[in-house]
Amino acid sequence: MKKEEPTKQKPPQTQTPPGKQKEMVPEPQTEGQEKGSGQLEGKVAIITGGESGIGQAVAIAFAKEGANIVIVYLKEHEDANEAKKKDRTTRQKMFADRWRHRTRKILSHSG
Amino acid sequence: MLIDGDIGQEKFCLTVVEKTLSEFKKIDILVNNAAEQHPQENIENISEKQLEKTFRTNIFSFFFLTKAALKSLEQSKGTIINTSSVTAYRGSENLIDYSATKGAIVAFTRSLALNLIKKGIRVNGVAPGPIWTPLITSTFPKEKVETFGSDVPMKRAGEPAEVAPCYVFLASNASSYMTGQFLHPNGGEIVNT
Repeated sequence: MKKEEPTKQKPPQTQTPPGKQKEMVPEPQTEGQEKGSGQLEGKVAIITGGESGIGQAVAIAFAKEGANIVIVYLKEHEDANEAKKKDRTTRQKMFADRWRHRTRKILSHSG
Repeated sequence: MLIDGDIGQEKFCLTVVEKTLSEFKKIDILVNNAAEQHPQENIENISEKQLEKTFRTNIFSFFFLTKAALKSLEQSKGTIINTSSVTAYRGSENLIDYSATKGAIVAFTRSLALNLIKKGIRVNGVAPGPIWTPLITSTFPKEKVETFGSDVPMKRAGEPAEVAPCYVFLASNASSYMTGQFLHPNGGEIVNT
């Protein structure tokens, strides 16, 4: 492939690993225009790294197609764990059957 | 359902499958996607610790989770989808260890696909190009983030939402005649198979 001068695309920015999606400029688009047509109705899917980035987009797309999603992720910061624990329990209780709810939940967990 | 833990540890992967089964009673789709990368200018800078951690997260976990979920996937005639990377196909100057794990994922996918045909499980993969995710902003220097994706034919980074449809296709019955294959959402870089 021929090499060309790199052009500036995004504002310069850095984060500490693993990074927070919500703080990225611009925020990554993880939800497409597809409406979903039941292609994965009733299926159960495990998605590692499903809390952000490509994994999150896959989780949303699968949920729209009717799948039940299990997101496996690594805790971001040890000191954030306590706060997240409560939050997570609440969200798990809120787990709804309709894809809209599932999508919202996954989105709310981003980054 | 959300489960947090380190997939680089086999014991945790067993827990993931146990928890999934107790909640949903079955597993149809396994997406091995999580990865980490730690850019280094030279191979001498890749410590034993970094090397092992990167391989544990990026490829050992694929073995662990596949083993743990195998029985369930066989029962459901399920599918496995593995996330590789364009770096497996064209190399990456500052991601020697990461790209090596991604190459391993390609061979793993092909071999596992052949091995699991008899069990009715399909195994395919996706090899994304430059995609705008936290992995990028948290591991590359500012200047690289600024121009990220500008060197592919489409001259831009892709969005996660532009990659996800590949997974839907490979997870669904629409891809019933495919196993051991990769899809390449990468902005037009021709890497073949």
